[in-house]
Amino acid sequence: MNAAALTVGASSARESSPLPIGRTLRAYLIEAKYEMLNALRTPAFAIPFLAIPVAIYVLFGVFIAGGGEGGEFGPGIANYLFSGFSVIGVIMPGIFSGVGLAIERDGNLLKLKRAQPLPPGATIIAKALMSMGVAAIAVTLVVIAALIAARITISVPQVLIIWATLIVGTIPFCAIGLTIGAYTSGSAAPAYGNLAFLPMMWLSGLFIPLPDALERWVVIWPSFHLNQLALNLAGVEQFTFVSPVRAAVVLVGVTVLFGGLAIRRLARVG
Amino acid sequence: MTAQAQDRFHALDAALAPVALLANVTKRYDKTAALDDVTLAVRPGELLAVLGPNGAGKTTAIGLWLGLTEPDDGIVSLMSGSPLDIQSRLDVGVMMQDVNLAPELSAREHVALTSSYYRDPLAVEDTIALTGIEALAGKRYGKLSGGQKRQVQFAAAVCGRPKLLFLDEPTVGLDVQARETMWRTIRRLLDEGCSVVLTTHYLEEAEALADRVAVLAKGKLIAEGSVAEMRSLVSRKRISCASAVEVDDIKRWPGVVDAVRQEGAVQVTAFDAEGVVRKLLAADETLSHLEVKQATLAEAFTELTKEAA
Repeated sequence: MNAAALTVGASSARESSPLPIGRTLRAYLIEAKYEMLNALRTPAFAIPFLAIPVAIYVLFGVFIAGGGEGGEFGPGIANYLFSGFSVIGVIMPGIFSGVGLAIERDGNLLKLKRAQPLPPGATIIAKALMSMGVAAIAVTLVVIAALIAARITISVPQVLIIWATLIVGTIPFCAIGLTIGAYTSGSAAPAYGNLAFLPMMWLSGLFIPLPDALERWVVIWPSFHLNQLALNLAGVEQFTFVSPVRAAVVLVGVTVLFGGLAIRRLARVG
Repeated sequence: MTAQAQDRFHALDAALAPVALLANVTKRYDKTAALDDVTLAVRPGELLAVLGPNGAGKTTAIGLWLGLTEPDDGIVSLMSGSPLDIQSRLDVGVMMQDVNLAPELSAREHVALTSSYYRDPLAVEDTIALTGIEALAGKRYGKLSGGQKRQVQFAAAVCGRPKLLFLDEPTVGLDVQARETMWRTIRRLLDEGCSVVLTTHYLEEAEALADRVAVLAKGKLIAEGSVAEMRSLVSRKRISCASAVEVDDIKRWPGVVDAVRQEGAVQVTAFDAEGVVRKLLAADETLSHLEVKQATLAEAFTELTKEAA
């Protein structure tokens, strides 16, 4: 042990300075930019997540359910279907961002980044921003389809409120996805992702009527709460069943719980 | 001491302080000691080659220096600070083994991304030129061959103008030309004052580049010194000649470890080369093609690790 060397070394430590705040912020943004580029260039990620929400919205929300007076719910059902299919556009990139994380862990990329002077949390922040970016494109496509189809009865400002709420609402689903990615391998992550995604899509009453036995359980799904929050904030009263505060609390809780689990795990094992 | 003298003293100290240090470090995985009371320092401006068979503790040592793992005992420092401190890593470049970078980004984008982590990186195009990856710069990483991927990882390791560079088996899978380019870049970085820690299985690589060699075996530092010192640790020499003397007779001479006849030539391994040569010349006046060679680093390494086993 060379104790003198450690003491002496302190003098050179004083000469080094931290990365300036401007460069640190730039590093976060560049990490997010390349995360987004890599995701959009990955056909297995980008194509389904951008195409599926708008495709099923057009099929079920416009062609199948969109005609006529909307049955027992009246023409307002078109607004609910628009919001519900838009939520799907948010859940998918959020949850499946974990697949990318798991693959990066398998490939030791996170270990390399821990060895590099990457600003703290940049990997997670980049994945969240990437998910929000992909979700923004997916929901925008649904919005464009809805406006062209002219089935919805809500105003453009209401559409924009729903759009903005959903984009921010990607974060809790990204937290769930990152937890999956932090705990599972790259080959298992898609299966776990589907295990979370499919029930959320089908059982939270986003676009199909549920039997009574299932309907009372919709409150356990964060996708239901995001849809409720968006409809509440946009003032679509016909289909709001829980208060916006309650929906927001659930979504924040999901973010804190799963985000915390992911961060804890990644800090230990990378 | 005057303030001026103190400043000079501190400047001298800073110049001599190790840029990376393991001091009496022990690291265990379960009950197995991956490193056992190892002290190893990387001095400013030198290339330290860390050699050792698989499982010797090389990767653990690098993992400790990079803050990827923490010691059970002892002190680890990086750039005079803690390896866990991001500030310590701002002057450090890293090239690890078995890393898959994002496949859909181009080599240029990978260099740009990694450059963004550093305080004063090279311009992206300068890094590309320095590491000779111009032909790969626009290609997607996932489409590159294994050797080309290593070249891109090397470019990402040097883009931040590191004062200390960790290279873990950097030339695995490289063709001769790419390896020469990488060696040339490493030498240039050394000339500019960068320190390098290199692990390699290619002993000629350590021989060509290293100022100092540290040999690990079973978690212990079994030898440390210059390449010449490493060789001299192993006193064996190789004697080769054309001679009619029977190898079975030579084997009985003092100082001889082994003697064989290969393709008509007698090959003798001996501790006392001078004594054996004298006896050979005395025993055979027609002896020719006499050649005495110092053990190579590879032979020294093999012998050292055998002794530790």
